[in-house]
Amino acid sequence: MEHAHGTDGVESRRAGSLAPVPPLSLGRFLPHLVGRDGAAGVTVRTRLLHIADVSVCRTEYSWPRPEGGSTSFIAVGRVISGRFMLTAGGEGPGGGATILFPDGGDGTDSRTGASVRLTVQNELPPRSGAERAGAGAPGFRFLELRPRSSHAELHLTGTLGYVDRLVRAGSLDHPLLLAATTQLVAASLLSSFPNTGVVADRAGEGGDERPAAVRRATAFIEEHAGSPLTAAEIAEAAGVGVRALQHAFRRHHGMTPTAYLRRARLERAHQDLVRADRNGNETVAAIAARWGFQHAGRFAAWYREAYGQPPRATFRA
Amino acid sequence: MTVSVRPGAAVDGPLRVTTARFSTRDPDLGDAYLSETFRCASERISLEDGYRLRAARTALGAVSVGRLQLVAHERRRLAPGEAVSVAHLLGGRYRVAAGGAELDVRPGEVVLDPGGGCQLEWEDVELDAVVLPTRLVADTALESVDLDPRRFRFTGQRPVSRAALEHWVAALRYVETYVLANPAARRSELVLGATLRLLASAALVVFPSTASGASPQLPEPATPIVARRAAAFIEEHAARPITLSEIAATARVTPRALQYAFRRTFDTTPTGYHRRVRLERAHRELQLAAPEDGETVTTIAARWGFANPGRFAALYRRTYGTSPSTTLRG
Repeated sequence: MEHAHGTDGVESRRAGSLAPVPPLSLGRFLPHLVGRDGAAGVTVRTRLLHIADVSVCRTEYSWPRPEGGSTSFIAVGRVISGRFMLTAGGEGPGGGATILFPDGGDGTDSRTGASVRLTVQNELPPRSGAERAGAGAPGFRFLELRPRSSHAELHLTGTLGYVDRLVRAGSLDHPLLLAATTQLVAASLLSSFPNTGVVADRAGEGGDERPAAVRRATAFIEEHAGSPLTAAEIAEAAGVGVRALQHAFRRHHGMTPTAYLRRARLERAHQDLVRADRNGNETVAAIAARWGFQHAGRFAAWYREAYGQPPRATFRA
Repeated sequence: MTVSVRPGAAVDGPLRVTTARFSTRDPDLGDAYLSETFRCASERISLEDGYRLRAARTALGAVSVGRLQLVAHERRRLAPGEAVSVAHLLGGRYRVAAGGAELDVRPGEVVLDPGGGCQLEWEDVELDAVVLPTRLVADTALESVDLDPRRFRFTGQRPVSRAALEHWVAALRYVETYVLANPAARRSELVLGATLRLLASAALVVFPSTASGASPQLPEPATPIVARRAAAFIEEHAARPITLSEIAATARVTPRALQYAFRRTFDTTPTGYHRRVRLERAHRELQLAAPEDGETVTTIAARWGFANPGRFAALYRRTYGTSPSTTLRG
């Protein structure tokens, strides 16, 4: 594997995909490279700073659609340009959730496919106020891949930009700044993404701008993703008409309830594919069927659109 | 018209954010406001010419982040208090004398008042000031340094390095735009708590104190010289149209090299940087504008080079999450 030193002192190397980052020992703070050799001509330049409970990572891809995914980190990505999708992580205790940021971009370098700004380990740092908010509780997880409101997204994007700047300036070498930044990132994530710990700060003041019907519908979908659901059933669970729900969904999620359901199922199928025992009895078709995808060809097409590779590739990886 | 901030209010307890503006031509009312803001008794020594004070202050628990615009030439004495303040000077003349040392602060620089009392001379200044309870700063220092809290104090008024100055300015810019102006962040106690600590940590890293010895310095140089020179030029001439080649000439590089340096340093183009600075200045004036001035969003936007009010409003909303008229109305 060849290392090349980037002109800005950040090491770069040719790589085709990102490998999960092994947790490093507590109190260590060092640039750490991830990535492994892969498709020719694809460059992933990553600088990852990892300490205790938090790692800060800046990754630039010169490939418009890199494979994303890690299982033990909460990853927050901001797409600078191009299209990029992060995959949902495990949802049980100890697993991580990954956050989707389809388009928060301010349109920068067109050669840069995406920039994963940050990954934060699922265990939130002590004294971050996170325990108070319930984040340390068993079964803590994030409920949504999108920030709870446009204001929250703006705040989060600004926070990631600021932290990115600190990383680039090397400021997080300072223990005080590292501690303060860790707390800030944890606070931003917890207040921006709906989760089982913080429902909404100062409940009643509109932390979650989505109508109650949309919230009820997404909760219902997440809970019953494994069962066959119709648009009428979702609407009934949400307590509104089908048309009204579709309209509200478009407004707040940019898609129909059915598309939202499909995405939830795709995410679960993806998780099963990642974790599947290749030597066992599992097959792509069986996993797809488990999540309601009876037609293998259509599943493969949707999957490829969401994850940039055919399901077989994930299964065999 | 004045704002209620309890001097030395407890750091703990529910965090609330309140923003209020203040405007007066009466020097006595101005005095009362300044004493309240800087949490210390303050007494005027001399005043020349007219007097006009415009200010906006956001209280975040016991911390306040304020913007001041003073049209006057005055000397004043500040008594020792229980808070430290950090001023980022944007314009005007500012001279401070404390403990036998005299400092001339220039626009773009930041200066710390450690709360031990000082003498101040200022003329037509524009500045952003952060006031932090000494206790909050000392408590934050103690989290990483073993120190008797009673022995904590700042030992200098200037940032320890160029990188330190840049760190302060970036932290303040972040807090103003993405926390204090952001409706979602303002509601989140978690974020507000983290912000208090962020500001206290920044003060500790930026200015020398009895706690500094044990910690590393911020790495230098934070910003490449080309980008730094160009950015300073843009900040200074933000109000007028500037061309890319003009900025490049100041930085003594080709426009292409300049664009490259900006992309690498600020993640934007020189033009994008200029737009951001103009937007920040417009935001600042919208916060400071007094009703009796008869200023409108359109006149303020135009002053900072945004000729199209609709486009200005859209850009403003994308950045601050609210409309400029909401900010203007306070």
